[in-house]
Amino acid sequence: MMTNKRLRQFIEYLSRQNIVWAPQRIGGELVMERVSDPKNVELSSELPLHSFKKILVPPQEALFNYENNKIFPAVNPPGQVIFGLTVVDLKAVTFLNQIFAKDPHFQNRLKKALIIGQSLMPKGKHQFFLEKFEEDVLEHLKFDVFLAAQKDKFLVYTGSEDGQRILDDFGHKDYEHIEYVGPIREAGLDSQMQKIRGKFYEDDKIWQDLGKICIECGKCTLICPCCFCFDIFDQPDLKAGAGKRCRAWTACFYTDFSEVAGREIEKKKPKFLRSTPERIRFWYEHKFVRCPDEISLPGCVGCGRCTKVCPVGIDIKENLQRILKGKLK
Amino acid sequence: MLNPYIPKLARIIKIADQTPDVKLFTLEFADRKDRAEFSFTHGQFVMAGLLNFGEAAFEICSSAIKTKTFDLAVGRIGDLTEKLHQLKTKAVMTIRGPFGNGLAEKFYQNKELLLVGGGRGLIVMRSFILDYLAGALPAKKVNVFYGCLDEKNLLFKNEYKIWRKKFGLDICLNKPEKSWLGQRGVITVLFNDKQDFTDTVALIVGPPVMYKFVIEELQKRGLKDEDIFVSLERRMYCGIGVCQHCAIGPYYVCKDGPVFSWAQIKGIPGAI
Ligand SMILES: Cc1cc2nc3c(=O)[nH]c(=O)nc-3n(C[C@H](O)[C@H](O)[C@H](O)COP(=O)(O)OP(=O)(O)OC[C@H]3O[C@@H](n4cnc5c(N)ncnc54)[C@H](O)[C@@H]3O)c2cc1C
Ligand code: SF4
Ligand code: SF4
Ligand code: FES
Repeated sequence: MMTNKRLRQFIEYLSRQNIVWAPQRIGGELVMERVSDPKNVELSSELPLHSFKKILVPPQEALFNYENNKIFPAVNPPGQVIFGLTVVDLKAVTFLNQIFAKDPHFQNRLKKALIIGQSLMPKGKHQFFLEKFEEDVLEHLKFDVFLAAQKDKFLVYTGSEDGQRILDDFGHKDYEHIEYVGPIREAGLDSQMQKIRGKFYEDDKIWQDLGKICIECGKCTLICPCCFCFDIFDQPDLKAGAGKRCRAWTACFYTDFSEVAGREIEKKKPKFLRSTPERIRFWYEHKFVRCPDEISLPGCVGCGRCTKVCPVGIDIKENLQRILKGKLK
Repeated sequence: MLNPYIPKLARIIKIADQTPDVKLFTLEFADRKDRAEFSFTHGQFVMAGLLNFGEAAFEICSSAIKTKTFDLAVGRIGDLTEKLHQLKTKAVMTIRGPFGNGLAEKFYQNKELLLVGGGRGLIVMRSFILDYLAGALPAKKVNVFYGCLDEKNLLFKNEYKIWRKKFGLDICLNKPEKSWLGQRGVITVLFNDKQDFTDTVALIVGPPVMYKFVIEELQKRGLKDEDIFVSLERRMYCGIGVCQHCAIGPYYVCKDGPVFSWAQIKGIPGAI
């Protein structure tokens, strides 16, 4: 058990020697930000609007550096602490860990990060796929330390050696270790995910309807903790012959996403996702068709952030219910 | 952990003009180990680039059995390709790959292989052609249908004489000069009712508009959807099925393609 007071000391201890990211209220909105004063850290069931994503999958990063036709590995990321992730966001970390299983940039960053989760379950109106917190979900989540809230104390779990080490160093010995066994439960694949996959192509009219209102701002993709698609490009340095090859976030809603070189038709380059309905279907298709097919996980953890930020009120929870209804008979 | 984004370096050892805007580059890996390890299946591609200018997908269009050097035919069409056209021999390019699924031999072993190329689609065909000429392709016979805009845009022109000694090469031009004696019109004019496709596997590569019409011609002549293959083009960045740019329905063109059987993708909206 860790008392509230001891937890505060733990956060202070962590911030003394590390970069710590934690939920804090800034301008009225709870966001994941760098901690300058540990007192501002807010541990609650509310999901921070901005997730951990920018920390583990930076908006832009160098894949390698080059100079005079020689290639140099990108600089190592710093170690940092990501504090206070809810189970919903830990699911997103676990999802990204599968997507980037063979990506040394992500793996390196994750390995060097200390991930501290907590059990308060979000209960905002936009959320879905939620269950009550139960201890047996922990072996399927990536974390280093996990705090399970009791009345005014926390049960402490560790999910890695790094987690054990930091607690030992801090002087907290009372924890239980839980070995990560992979993201899929013994009971098998998520039944909701399989149902959506099975019915995905039944009602095509939904995309026409959504296409009429979506303004392709891309906010939903930027805010989504599971969205990760990227461009790759070179960024030349001022020094001749030097620079770096980078990758950076993009959004499948942007019209250049599928654009290819070639003869322009009506001043537009040829592209394969030609209309808003095609683009919005592509986004859902990634999350509910391709991700389940590839890694047996949906590319959505039900956090509801996309609904919250959508300027025209597109609600993913409603849309999934409509997909589940299937063919209109 | 292997970093899939770190390219190998290759030196350009020969550049040959093909048409006013296509050049054929012959490349050799700078590192001896890379040279020894390089192998690919016909129809696979590489992500080739130039430091400071990024990378893009190009078909490997040389022999798959002689891989000490390899060829890329590059059409000048945008920023990177413009820059590549300015290069001289000895310049260094970055190479990642080969990526994706080409057309494996098992699909056309002891069958006739019909290669239908429109425009730059012929680039994909060259590796099949060169290995068939060398007696190293297990197809019973090869036929090539090639549709092109006009005579000055014909690719690999100086090789036709050798090619024609071993297989049929039927060409039609869309907008030929008056002096052109061959066939005229779009590529479907090359199909006629005397052709026998009972034992044939076809590979189609060309501009998107072409696929539907060629597939119809082949189906009319009894080809099964499993024996019709297409190679698709999409915007690409990662080449390994992560970045999402090249996705079609449940598939990635970079990883599951670029060569797909028509049976595999015919139900996917927007695939062709
Ligand atoms: C599997 C495959 C094989 C190909 N093989 C060949 C070949 O053998 N010879 C050849 O000349 N061309 C080939 N292409 C097309 C070639 O990749 C494009 O012509 C090239 O990307 C144009 O780049 P650019 O910078 O000159 O054009 P720009 O219009 O300046 O391109 C800007 C960016 O868009 C992207 N892009 C543009 N067009 C394409 C495209 N068609 N495919 C993928 N990304 C694109 C690139 O990332 C590029 O960085 C192939 C494409 C694919 C997908
Ligand atoms: S936030 Fe809403 S309007 Fe913007 S791209 Fe997403 S669905 Fe469309
Ligand atoms: S609810 Fe929306 S923002 Fe949250 S994971 Fe699903 S798609 Fe992403
Ligand atoms: S090029 Fe990135 S997914 Fe195909």
